[in-house]
Amino acid sequence: MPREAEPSLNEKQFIVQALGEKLRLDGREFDQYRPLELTFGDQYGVANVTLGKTRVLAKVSAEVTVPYVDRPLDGVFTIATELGPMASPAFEVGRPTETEVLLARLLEKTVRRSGALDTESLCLVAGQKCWSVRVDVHVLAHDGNLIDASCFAVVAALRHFRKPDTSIASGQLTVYTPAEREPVPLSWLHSPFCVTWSFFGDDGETALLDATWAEEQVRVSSCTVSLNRHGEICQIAKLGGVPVEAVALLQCTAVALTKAKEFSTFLDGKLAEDAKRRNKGGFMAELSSENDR
Amino acid sequence: MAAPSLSFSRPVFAKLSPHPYLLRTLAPQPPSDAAASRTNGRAPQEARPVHIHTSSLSHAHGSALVRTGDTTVICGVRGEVLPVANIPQYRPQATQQQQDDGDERADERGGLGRGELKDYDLLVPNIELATGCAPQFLPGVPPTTLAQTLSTRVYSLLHSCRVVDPKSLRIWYTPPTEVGNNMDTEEQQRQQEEADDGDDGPQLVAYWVLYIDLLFVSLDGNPFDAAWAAVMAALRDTKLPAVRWDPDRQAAVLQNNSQPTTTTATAAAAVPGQGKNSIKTTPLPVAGLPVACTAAVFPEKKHGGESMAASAAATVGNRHWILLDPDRSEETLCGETITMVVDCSSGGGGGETRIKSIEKQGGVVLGRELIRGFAGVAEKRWKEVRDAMQ
Amino acid sequence: MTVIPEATLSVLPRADGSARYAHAGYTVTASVNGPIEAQRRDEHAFEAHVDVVVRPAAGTGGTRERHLESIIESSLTQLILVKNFPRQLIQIVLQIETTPDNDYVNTKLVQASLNFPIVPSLLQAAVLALISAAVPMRATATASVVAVVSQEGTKRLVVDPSPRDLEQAQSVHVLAFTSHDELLLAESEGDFTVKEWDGVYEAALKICCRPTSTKAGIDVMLDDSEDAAGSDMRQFLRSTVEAKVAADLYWK
Repeated sequence: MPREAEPSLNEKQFIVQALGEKLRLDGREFDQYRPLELTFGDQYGVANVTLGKTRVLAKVSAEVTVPYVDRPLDGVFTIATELGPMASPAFEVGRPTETEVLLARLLEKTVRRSGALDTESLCLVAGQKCWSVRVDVHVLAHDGNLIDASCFAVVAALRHFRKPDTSIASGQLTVYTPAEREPVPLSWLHSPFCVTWSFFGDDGETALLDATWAEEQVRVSSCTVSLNRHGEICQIAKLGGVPVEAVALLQCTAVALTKAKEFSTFLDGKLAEDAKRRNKGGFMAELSSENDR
Repeated sequence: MAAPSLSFSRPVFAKLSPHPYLLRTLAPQPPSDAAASRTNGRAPQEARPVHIHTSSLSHAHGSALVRTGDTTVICGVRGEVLPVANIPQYRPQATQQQQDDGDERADERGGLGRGELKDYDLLVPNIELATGCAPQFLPGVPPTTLAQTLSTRVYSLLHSCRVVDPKSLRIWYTPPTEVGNNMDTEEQQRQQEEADDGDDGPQLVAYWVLYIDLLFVSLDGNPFDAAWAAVMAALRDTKLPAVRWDPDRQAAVLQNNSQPTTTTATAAAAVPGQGKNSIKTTPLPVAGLPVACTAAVFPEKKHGGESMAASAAATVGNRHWILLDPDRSEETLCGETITMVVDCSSGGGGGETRIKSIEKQGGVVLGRELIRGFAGVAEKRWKEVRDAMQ
Repeated sequence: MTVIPEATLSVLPRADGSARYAHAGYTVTASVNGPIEAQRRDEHAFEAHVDVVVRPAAGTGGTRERHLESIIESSLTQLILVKNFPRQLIQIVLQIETTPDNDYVNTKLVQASLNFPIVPSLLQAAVLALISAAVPMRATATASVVAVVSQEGTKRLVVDPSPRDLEQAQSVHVLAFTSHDELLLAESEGDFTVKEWDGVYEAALKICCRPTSTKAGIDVMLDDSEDAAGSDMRQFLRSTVEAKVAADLYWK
């Protein structure tokens, strides 16, 4: 496969010099994201996220399987990321690149290890049957900041997803089809978001949010902070690169919190909008047997 | 034959430029009085004879070896017992209700029966192209695209033809209603209540899963026809042992085996060869006899040649030959292939031929008329294969 | 669920060509990169290697994706002028985004049987993406799915069947035609006769190869009279590309 063409020396210098003059190529502020868009499909659990020219599609699916022997009370939850040649011809099928491994690792730490999804609620019959929830992340177009976009897509898709309803009567498990019973949402505990900073300059003194692909090629270091809107940090990853001052990092996390809050509000709004769209004329509300109390 | 130094022997010519070589044998030039034939000596619409041997594997429940020319494939069918408790997504209602009369109706609707086979993966075909069966298969590589494509095609066809009825794969257990002493009755009742809300009708407790393994010993073109014939022959040869469900052990045991120690859930199926005489077996009912028939289209002009300049010369390069049952060298020269699966067994031979599948791809030569005509060729092939099976 | 097909060209900024195609509940995004340098093992001395990758919406691709890839690849090799690009690679990635739901069945992730009705969407998306990437082609192609559903003794043809129709269908057929009205691809499964196949062929031909008339007036009349027969794929392909060209050249 052809290698991705690196930016030329002139391009690199141009970007760095412009940043020195407090300018970004697309005219954004340093802590400004590109326009973020989120659309849900007709199905439950499909989230289409565009961040500038970066496009990520996340799809959630659920299946009944046998739990792992060492974790009989937990369900199975996996996030699969694969960067195919669609994102760039440099990515090959079945041969993970460094970008892909890092992305998978960060999503794993942010969403799975932080306990965003209650895996115990996925257990159906202890040691015998459980739900296996799988998120597939498809990167359709890669123009920088894949991590933030993918994380947002995964969280959005999982919160939008409904799994089939089940019941257990006299030891016999029944999984209802959507026609028999309305599917139910997952037991969701908190929504973590990734905010990635890119550092530029000799000592990493310039910090940018939401770097584009070109900017990512010339950055000297990067740091991803994952946190939810309550300011609970799930993970911070600064994987090598030029050392950055601790105080600067603190400022970064403070800004990250405001961004996480923005993401959270945006996602809540979109989910409510989608629920409204599905529930035309409040018909489902009428059918619902739940009281308002 | 100009200068003797420039003339090649036939095999060398065939290797150097296979396309003109095949073209010349198919369309002999006027002075030569040779009949049009392929390089392998067959007429264009002549298939290689099929030889089928069944029951050649002693440790499978059914097996078949199929040879067409130098394509040899061996197929083994092996049944294993899958208790429903081990199927995570198992749903009792779907099958329990249609046990008796409702069954026919459900099958006619086409829904449930097929779903059962697919949902629980009761038929598992797997195709392996052995190292060295043809020069391009090297040791230690992952399954080739050809092997994966073939197993998908076999899998799809097995389900779309409904060759195996899911009913014949079900294993039932009827809880005894009348028992000698009191202790047992109580226990039975308790068990029943636990198991099925006190329903004392027969319960579906397990399924037979058929593992259909195909191994190509040698491959000289047309793998699908041979593979499918092997699958059909092996399934028709399959005899599943009669099993009895043992509720205490939650496992199936062979029905007339006095020593049940050897037969746990999987072991019951695992030792078909052992003591074959003592074990009662029932042949697996197989519906119909679909037969696959493949042909490749050999164009006079290789594809793409017409793209730039040759459109003017289209009058010359428009001939084509439909080569039935192509061998390996022909397959490399042909882009377009058609596989038609027909079954003439329904309606006592007098009925209309049922087509089970058509797969035509890779070219634009075969239009409506040729495909219609090909049905006749497939029917002829069906008779040949049927005769070979008996 | 979209009844009429929808398509957008050049949706991905970095690929040479791309298209998003949605029809009858299926949504496919296709990207085309090419002609690019081929790897040694894929290199062909006389023609371009056409590499098709089909990626399912959920789960990793298995044997049935390989089969779909081989079907699409053999069809596209016929359309692309592969002889123009020896030793090169034309890479086509087809990402399945959504497939129609069947509310009466629970989803099962790993399925080995061939997913017939998605073939036209894959092919159509690939053709549109190839046009968008300006890869030279001999012809374009249009495709359609037709199912034969038997209801109370009578058989009727269902164009673009829903998953529910497919479940009850006696046979399912996928046919693709080139823009020269040649039959490019024919895949059928189920139980049918030559006569039934003929009927299916007629129906598919009507959808895929309705003659396009240049006079607008006649066009409208045709649409009115044959609306019941399903959408006109060739006209759709043409209008999509026309719209894209018009949008790109608005400054002229």
